[in-house]
Amino acid sequence: MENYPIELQHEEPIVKAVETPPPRPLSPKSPKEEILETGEKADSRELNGGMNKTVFINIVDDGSGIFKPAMGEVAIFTGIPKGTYHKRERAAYLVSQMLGFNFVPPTVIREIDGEVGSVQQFIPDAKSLHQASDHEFGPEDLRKLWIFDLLIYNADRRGPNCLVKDGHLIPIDHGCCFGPAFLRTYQGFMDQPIPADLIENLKQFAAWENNKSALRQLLLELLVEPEVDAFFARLERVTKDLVAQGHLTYSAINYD
Amino acid sequence: MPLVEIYKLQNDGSQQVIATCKLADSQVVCEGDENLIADLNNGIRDYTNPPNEKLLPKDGIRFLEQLKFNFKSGYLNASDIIEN
Repeated sequence: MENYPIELQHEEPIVKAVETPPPRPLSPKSPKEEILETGEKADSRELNGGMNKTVFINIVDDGSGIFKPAMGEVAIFTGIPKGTYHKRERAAYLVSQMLGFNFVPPTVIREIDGEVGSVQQFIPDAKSLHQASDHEFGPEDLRKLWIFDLLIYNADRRGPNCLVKDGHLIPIDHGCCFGPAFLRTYQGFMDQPIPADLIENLKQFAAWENNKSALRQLLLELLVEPEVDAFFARLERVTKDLVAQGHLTYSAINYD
Repeated sequence: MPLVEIYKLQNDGSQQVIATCKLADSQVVCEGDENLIADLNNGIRDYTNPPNEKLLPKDGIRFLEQLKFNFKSGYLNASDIIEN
């Protein structure tokens, strides 16, 4: 796997002049994020299995969450140190929200019982991908997921870390993202059309400097600067390609 | 006989065993949820090797060892190897 710094392609900005871009308000924390972050823990249960420590928590009067403490992380990828997985979980959620994917469950960072980690909203009655049949979600969902995984440079997308509920895919488990390597066997939907609403969301985000700046600042609280720079470089290349072509080409995907 | 249990998280935070994979005659045999078993028989990721390496039940103990790295989301977790 590669070491830092990552070789980046330097290209012209996508938007040279902003002409009354559509307003896209900055995202304050949602009510669910507030609850996850500050809600009183009712009780908790450490889960058996897995390689990292995971804890199921109930929040007083308001749902449940999956808590992944930093101290319970085990490093499995070069360039993604243990102790950072929980931050990458939060970072993936922020990207999902601010770029309009809106499919990662609300995820915050908080301290529980003296341990700091990520808390993600628990999705009840969700199937894992292997349990769901193909008609339970649309093919467009998989294409959106592929684009999302490319943008966050997900090194670890497989069936067990994707849920299905109410006709939609719900990606989870993003501790191994924003690192130096992408899951290269995950070729996805190269040269296939990408949903128009996703392209429009990316185009709008590219046109709104305030949101780009806000996301950058939020990510810098969670990731090191080369990782944030690499994310925005990928975002720029992918958006440019999708706006121009309607699909991704190999030239837009800089794995190295 | 070494084995691994795969748990599915329930709404109340309890975990249900939905599959068990056992080492038998140097190969792994999995029993339980049919869809999950079919998925397992297609192979799992070997996190000790480049990402295009896949492990199959015929790979025996290595397959068992890697299950907990493949199933770690909380919703689906695989145990460490249990000596039965």
